[in-house]
Order: sequence, then C-alpha cells, then structure tokens
Amino acid sequence: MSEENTLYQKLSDAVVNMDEDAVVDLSHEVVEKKFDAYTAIDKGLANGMERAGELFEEQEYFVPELIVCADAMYAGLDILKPHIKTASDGKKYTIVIGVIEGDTHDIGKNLVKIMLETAGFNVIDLGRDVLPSDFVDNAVAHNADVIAISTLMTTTMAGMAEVIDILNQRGLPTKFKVIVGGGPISQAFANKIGAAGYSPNAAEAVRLVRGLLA
Amino acid sequence: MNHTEIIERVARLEPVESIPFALLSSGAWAINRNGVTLEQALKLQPQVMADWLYEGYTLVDSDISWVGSGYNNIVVKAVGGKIKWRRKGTPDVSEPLFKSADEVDKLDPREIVKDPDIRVIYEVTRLLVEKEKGQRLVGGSMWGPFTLSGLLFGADALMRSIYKNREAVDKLMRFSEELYLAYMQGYIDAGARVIFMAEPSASGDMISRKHFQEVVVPYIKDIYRRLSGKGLILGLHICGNTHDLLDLIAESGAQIMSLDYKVDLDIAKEAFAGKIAFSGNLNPVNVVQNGTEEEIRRETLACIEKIGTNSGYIVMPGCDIPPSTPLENLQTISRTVRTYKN
Repeated sequence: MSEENTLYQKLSDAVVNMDEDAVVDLSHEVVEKKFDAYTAIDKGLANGMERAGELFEEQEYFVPELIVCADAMYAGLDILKPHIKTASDGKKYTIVIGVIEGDTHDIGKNLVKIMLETAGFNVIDLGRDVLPSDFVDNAVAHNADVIAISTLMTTTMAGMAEVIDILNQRGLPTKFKVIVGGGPISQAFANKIGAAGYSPNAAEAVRLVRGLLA
Repeated sequence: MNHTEIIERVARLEPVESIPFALLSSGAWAINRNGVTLEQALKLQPQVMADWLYEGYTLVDSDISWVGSGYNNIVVKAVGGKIKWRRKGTPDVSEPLFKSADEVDKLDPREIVKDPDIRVIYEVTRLLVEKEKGQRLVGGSMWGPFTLSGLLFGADALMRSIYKNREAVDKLMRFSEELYLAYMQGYIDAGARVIFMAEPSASGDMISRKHFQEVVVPYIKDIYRRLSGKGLILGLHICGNTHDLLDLIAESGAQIMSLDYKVDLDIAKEAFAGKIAFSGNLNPVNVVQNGTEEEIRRETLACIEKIGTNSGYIVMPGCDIPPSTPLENLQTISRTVRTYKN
C-alpha cells in the first residue's frame, strides 16, 4: 500500500478504535505531507465512521462507542476541513433533520446526523420537538433534498404524517424525499403515510439516502 | 383469589389458579381518557385522579393499579429542571439540568418530597390504596438511576462520559439512586406496595452488556437491596432488546422483570425459570393500540401458550400504551386471559 493509503487506513482505524489523539496526530500528518484533505476525510474519517456504523448494526458497538468514535472523527474533521482544495465533486445534497413535535429523545437523530455528515451530506439539524410546519419551512428555505424525521414515541408518530400532509397542501408532494425512523417506526408505517423511505438505524440511513438520491 | 393474592403469589413464584394480567403503568391512558391532560389532573382534587385511576384499571380488569404513572419527569422539575407538559401524554424534559456532575453536590435529593405536584401524587396514592381496600395492589414507578442521570446530564453526555469520565458517571448514579429512593419512599409511606424501576436508557439497544454490568447493575442492585425486607414487590422494566442482559437481571434483586415486545418469551422463560417472575410482552402499538380483536386475541394466546401457566408470568403489554388505546382492545386482552382454559 502506498504511504498515502496507509495513512488513510490508519486514520480509519483510529476512528473505529475511538482513539482521538491518534486521529489528531494522523490528521496533522496528512496536512504536513500535503496529501489531499478531502480524500483523507473520505477514505479515513468517513470510512472509519462507516465501519463503526456497521459494528453498531452488528451490535458490537453501541451508543457510547458511536459517540466517542464521532468525537474522534470530528476532531480530525476540524483539522482537515480548512485544507479541502475543492468542494466535493458533484452536487452537495442537503438534508433537514429533526425529532418530531412532542418528542425530545434525540440520541438516534444525532447518530443519523453524524453518519450523514460524515458521508458528505449537508445536514441542517432542527433539533427536537420540531413542529411539522417547521420541517417544511426549513426544507424550502434551505432548498433541501431530503427531510428526515425521527421519533421514539408512539404518541408522536402522527406528526410525521402531518409533515407529508403539509407538503401536499402546499403543492410540494414530490419536492423533498421524506424519510422516517425511530423506535416505533417501521417500513409499514412509512408506506402508510406515504414517506419515501424508512431506515432502522443510522448506518442504514446513509444507504437509504444515497439510494433515494441516485 | 383476589388481585392482591395473585400478584403476591406470582412474585414468590408460587402456583396460581389463573394467569395474571395487568397493565404496565398506563397512567396517561387512564387520565387522558377523561378528557384531561396530566398537568390539569394535578390541579383537581386528588380524589378525582384516584377515582379515574381506579376506574381505568378496573374497567380493564388489571391485577395491579398504578399511580404517578406518566409523571416520572416531575422528579427532574422538582430538582430544578425544566419540563414541558403536553396536551396528550407525558411531559418531557426540555434540556439537561447539569453541565457538570459536580452540580449534584449542591442538591439534597430528599427535598423533592416538598414539591407540590409530588405531594399531590402521594395523596392520590393514599386515596387509591384506600379505595382498593386491599383487593388490589397499588404500584408506583420511576426512572432508574441510569435513565435519570441521562435526563439530568444529557443522554449524549452521559454516554460519552462512560468512556471519558467514569467518575462523573458514578457521581450522577449515586445522586440518582438517592433521588429514586427519596421519591419512592413517599409512595411506600402512602401504601403502594408494587415498586417498579424503568430503565429504558440501559437497554441493549443503547449500551453494551459490559457497560450494563459495570455501570448500571451495581446501582440497581443497591436500590433493590435497600428496598428489600419491607414487604414490597420490586419490579424492573427495560424497554427494547434485553436478550443479552437476562442473566444479570435475574440476579439484580428485582422480583418481576417486565419485558418489551422485542424479547423472545421462550428465551426469557429459560433465563428466569425458578429465579424471578416476569411479564410482557404484547406490542403496545401494532397489537394493543392498532390490532383487530382477532389479532389481539391471537397474540395474547401466543404469549400464554409460550409460557404455560404457573411459570411466574404475568400477561402485560411490552411497554406503556399510547393514551388513545381503545378500551375495548385492553378488555380483549383481559377477556382472553380470564377465559383461557389450559
């Protein structure tokens, strides 16, 4: 393997191993050796998060592990981002994400946000307890491609359908891809409310979005 | 055998003539169905809430009645946190209260019993116990220390601290343990005898078995130890997937483990046989709220037939039910259980 690719592999390993110090050192090395910052992010940091996401799916990694991996990844991102020479090739897609009105459980939404950002998407985080109309207003204002809605509670699921209703009422039925996720959510529910997709977890969310935007 | 005797016997793993059935918590359901929010209900005469709770649990023929259910986050308000009440359902914690674990040093958990809303709930407990006349046990439940710590400190911050600041986690857990015990003492003094702990943040969907064992188990064990020998029936509820934790739960000191729909009852039965009683695990949304009468009957029978009778088992929904769950659906469950012949 070339020196460059070895470095990216080490970066990826450091993220998976939750080794923030190593990620910082390796990111500095990328800059010193004038390797391409964007490639380092893609093949190093993002690759590491993707592997962490797979471990999460396989129930080897859990929420604490993903959070600490993400901390390491963001530490590397802070160092490498200013050195990106070109914007990512092709269009940068925008995703508006939030937890639906009435719900404040946001760990899952935060994990999805991390995975999507790492994968190169522009993510507008509306936070939690977000009004259905705010999802729509923000998607329009930011010219988003995807609206991602999360909830953990059964009592708030109906708000997701309301987002789709508002889109229809405003004559925007297909303008945004609406995806849904969270504890009580299922593919059946997504189909029922007319959402574009459902993801059972954060890693799968990235694949879902890529598939919908392809 | 009245409701009290059935539950007492099941908790002791003694044979019972018929299979017990109970709701799990479901306070928001019992109160909202009267057209009143949880916030409004606290402002009424305590007897009104006691009557509504009694009526709700009686209409569905639950072997346990619950008080204070739905109000868990009131404890966060009582120590100075911000909660947001809802038109329907339970209040949320708006934002974490502590930026640093050291902030717990400034607070005395025992002060929460002076909170006016908590005092109302204790009074409702006393009135409900009176109304039950010993025929049915009254239960109370609160977040366990791990979930409480997450609400007070921020769930993300707590999860991160497991790796980066274990001392902070221990400090928060010690404080939350005292908070749990201070809060539940009021219920116990008012006559509640079924004392539950809810630990959704400790589920296998959130943390590893290793962290459950290192971070959570010591504290829930300590809580159950401190509550033992008082004639109480101690229970634990963890939402989500707990397959990997069953053996640890069996040793925790809990007498009843309430399982969520994700857990395979066959596996649970094997893990708990002869050790602790358990309950569950009808899917609260897909089955209990949205199921047809036939579906509910079928799922209830499936639970019973998996476990058999006399196995220390109580039929229960797998988690709290949505407030708009139709009464008929709950009555279908109890009817199916009560008319079951081996």
